Amino acid sequence: MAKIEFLDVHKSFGSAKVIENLNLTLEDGKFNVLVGPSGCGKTTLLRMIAGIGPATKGQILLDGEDVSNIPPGKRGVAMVFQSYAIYPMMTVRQNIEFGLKNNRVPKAERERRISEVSQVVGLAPYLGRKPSQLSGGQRQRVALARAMVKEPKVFLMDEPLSNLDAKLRGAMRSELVQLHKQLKTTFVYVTHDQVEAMAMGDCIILMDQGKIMQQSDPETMYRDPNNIFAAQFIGTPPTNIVEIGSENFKLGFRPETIILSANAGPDRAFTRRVKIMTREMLGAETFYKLCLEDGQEAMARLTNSSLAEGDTLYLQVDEDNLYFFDAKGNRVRKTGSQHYDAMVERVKRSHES
Amino acid sequence: MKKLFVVLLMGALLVSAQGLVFAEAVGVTEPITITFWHARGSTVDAEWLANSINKFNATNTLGITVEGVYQGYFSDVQAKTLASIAAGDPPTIAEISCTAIPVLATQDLLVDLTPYVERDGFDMDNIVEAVSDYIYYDGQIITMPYTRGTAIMYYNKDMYAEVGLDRAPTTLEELNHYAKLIYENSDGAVKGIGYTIEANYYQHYLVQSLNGMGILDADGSGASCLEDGSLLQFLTDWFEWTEEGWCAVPALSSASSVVQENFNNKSLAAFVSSSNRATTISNNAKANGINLGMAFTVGYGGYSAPIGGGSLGIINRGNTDQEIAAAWEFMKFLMTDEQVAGNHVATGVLPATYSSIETDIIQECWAENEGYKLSYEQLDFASEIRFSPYVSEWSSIVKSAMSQLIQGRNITPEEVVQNLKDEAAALF
Amino acid sequence: MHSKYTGFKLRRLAVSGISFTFKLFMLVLFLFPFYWMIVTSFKTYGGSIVFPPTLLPHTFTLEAFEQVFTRLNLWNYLKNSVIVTVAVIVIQTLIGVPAAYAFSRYSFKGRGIMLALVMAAFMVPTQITFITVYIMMSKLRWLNTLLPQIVPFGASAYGIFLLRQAFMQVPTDIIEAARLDNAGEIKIMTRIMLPAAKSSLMTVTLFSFVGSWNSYFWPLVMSNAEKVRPLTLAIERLKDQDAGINWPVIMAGNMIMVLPVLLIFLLMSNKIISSMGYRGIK
Repeated sequence: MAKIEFLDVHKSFGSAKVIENLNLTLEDGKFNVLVGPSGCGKTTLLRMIAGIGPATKGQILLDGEDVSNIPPGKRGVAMVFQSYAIYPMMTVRQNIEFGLKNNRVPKAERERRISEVSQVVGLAPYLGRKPSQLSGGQRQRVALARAMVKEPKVFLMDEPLSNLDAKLRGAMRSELVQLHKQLKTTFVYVTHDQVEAMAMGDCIILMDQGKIMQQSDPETMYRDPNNIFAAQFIGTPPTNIVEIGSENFKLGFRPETIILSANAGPDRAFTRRVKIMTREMLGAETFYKLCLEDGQEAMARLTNSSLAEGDTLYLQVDEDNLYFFDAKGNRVRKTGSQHYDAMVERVKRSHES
Repeated sequence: MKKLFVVLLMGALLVSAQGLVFAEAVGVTEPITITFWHARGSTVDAEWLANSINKFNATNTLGITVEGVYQGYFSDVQAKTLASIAAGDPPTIAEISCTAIPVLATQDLLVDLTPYVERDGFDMDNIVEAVSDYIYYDGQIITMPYTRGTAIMYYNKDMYAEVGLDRAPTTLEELNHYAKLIYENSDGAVKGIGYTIEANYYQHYLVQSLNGMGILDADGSGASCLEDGSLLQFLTDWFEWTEEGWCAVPALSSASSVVQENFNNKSLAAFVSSSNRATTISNNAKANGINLGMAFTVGYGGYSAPIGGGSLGIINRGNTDQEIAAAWEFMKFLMTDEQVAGNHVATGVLPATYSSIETDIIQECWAENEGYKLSYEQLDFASEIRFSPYVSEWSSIVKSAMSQLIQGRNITPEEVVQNLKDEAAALF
Repeated sequence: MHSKYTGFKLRRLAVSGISFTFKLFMLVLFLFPFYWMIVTSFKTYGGSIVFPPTLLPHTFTLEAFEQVFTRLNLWNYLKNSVIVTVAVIVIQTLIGVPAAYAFSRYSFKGRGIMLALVMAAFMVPTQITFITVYIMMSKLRWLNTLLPQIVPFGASAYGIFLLRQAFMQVPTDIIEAARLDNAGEIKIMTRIMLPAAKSSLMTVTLFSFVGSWNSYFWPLVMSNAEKVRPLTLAIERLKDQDAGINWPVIMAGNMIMVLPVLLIFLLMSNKIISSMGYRGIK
């Protein structure tokens, strides 16, 4: 178990600076999820922890100890690769045993751990097989077992589920969460999939272009985004962002907070007349693509499926469900900003004008 | 390639300024091993040589051991010897062809044997005069004749008898007449005669029978055959003979083996080859049921024959006095009557000393096999190509020109002669 | 309808017929020289030069083989060939594998230049280098040993190149996984890289084997004593064209020469073919 700290970390590949001046602390024992679009630097951070892609500048501390000069195999970390990276020429048992042998774990101990781990991940019947004789899911388990058997301080996972089909992915997701509960080890999990991040993480670190956009638990990440990027990255469909006339701030609201009705209620903060452009019926919910009078668009996600394309209605959002963002896209919250009430007023008035 | 090799090594030789070892007759004081590089690869040659070496090693009282190393053909021995001299690790003694001797001698790479000859009272007058040209250079004794040979005409007696010649031909014109008859009588299945291209050997003496000099002038520094029309006449004739079909065109590779194969499978009635191969050729003819005749080789208007083959030389670089002295002992051993005579009888190489001819070994052999005797008798009119530093390069130029004409057949004899004139202007 | 069907059938028949003929042709093209070598080795000299040539010996004889054994001290040459070949393969592997690994997986100063040098060495024919090497060997007093036939071939540019290409095919993830499993570089090389490059290694080894075993020019230049000469030179020695080439003896010698090569190919053919089809597992 370990706390991981990044201190003033830089990383560049040739002349391309991927990460500049990054500081981050990953708490001990948490299921940390690094999430963000591809190229945001999340895998780069993971590789720094592993030691297979060292930082150009800065320090990485594991439990307060600088590990920058410790080779990967001696950091007490284990990693599950997106490609699984299992050794194709070794049997399942040899794959799992390889790290133990290299670490000079005595034979009896190795046997014990291998049988234990293979029980846990359900590979016991396949120990003698070669990877080529295994299914995708089984290979994934080999990669997992290979990491687990080392009993590491930190588990690193680089999009480990992305090569599995949707059904298997769902099952593995909850297995991994359970595994984390059992082991209580620090997990660092990289994904580009916000659903996966929300479903699995205790702590989500949302990244974009080498910067950390928000670090929080999933609930906060969803309810209280720090910026337009966080608001839009998390949630499906993403948070609607609209401009209010010529105001220098933007307004955000989640599709599921929209109230659509034939008559506008008087006490809602945000009201617009809209026309339904498209309708996607997904079962329990229906997505509507809406066109505002000034040409801006918004998505609504409602349980009501009775509305039809071409209908003209009123879109309304309650004040509590509105996010205000300044010109740079950063959140303006009710507490800590003297302009907040004025902004709400301007939004309310914007419909009447 | 080989030429380039030699040229490069010459350069290396010039650069490596090694001190000259002046031969002074010394005695072998302690057991010593010397290497002998040679070109004697055929079964009978190798057997006889192994025999000689073993006998010398076993009988010499000075503790000398000779290690014989077969290095391939004469050209290989020459190239490897030059290379090893440049590299500083030459053999002590080598079997060197007539073509190579001037190359080595003019660079002072061969030990002057005079002190040893004088010390031991070795009788130089005992050496058969016809094979003595390449022994002397610049007042020194540099080689001893060892595997000297002359060209012999080997012919199928039955085939020639069938068309009316029941003895050996005495002139080229006579040979050609019957060769043509054999070809015509067999409807083109049997060629009458076949040569290989050896510009400094057979072709040299054929030209010599026209101009008295051959492809290289008597002083060794010019080629008047280009001007006096003799080379043109010979080339025109040869081209014509092959055009008519009764004279075989030399094969592009292993030509000398191919003529023998054709002779043995009876598609060729006669060929010219070295007397050094007499034993092998006789054995093969016998195995294939051929009534083999051996005869003087002929030229325009009469007999004409070359002398070639190999001699022994001691390398003047990278060898100690002791090694040189040991090599001389081995050389002397090979020049004993028993060795010279045995060498002749076993393989066919010319006997190089007069005294060896008197031995029972040779007399008994000659009584049985007149072919061997004939090769010796041919020395009365046979001659060596002039000792000249140009021999090696000029004959190789002439050889490729002949090859273009006879094997390539895309050039006229006149053009060949013209090209050779240009080459000669550059060389001499 | 009927004619259309038969037309299709005929066309297929014709295609397979052509394909069969072509395969047969290739087979004959490759096998006939071997056949000719075998048959000739059992002929008499007279039988080998008879015109027109015969497909089978008139008189079957082992005389040629006897001659090979009486004319050559075969064991001496065989021993040299084996020592040289085995030594070359072992040294090439010991040097080539780490070199290829370094070239494929490390970035270090001068890597590009060094790789270019290796490639240049690959392209320079031995005919250009042999004189210098010969003089070097001579100065080292090595010409009476097997070393000049072994040492210059200790590193094979071709082998390094081929292994490097194979190593580059190994996914980086796997190597990183091994590093995380605390595997040292040598272990990564032997346990991860080599098994993945099995087919290339086998190709390189086979080429080295054949190249070394069949080497003629180099040992010809680099040996000055019978005791260090390989089989190829001994077999060549059976050929004396001025005395008429005795084809049965030459072919008998060649049979002895190619037998080990043929045996290895036959014994390993399954492995060779399957290794050619090796693909990594995703």
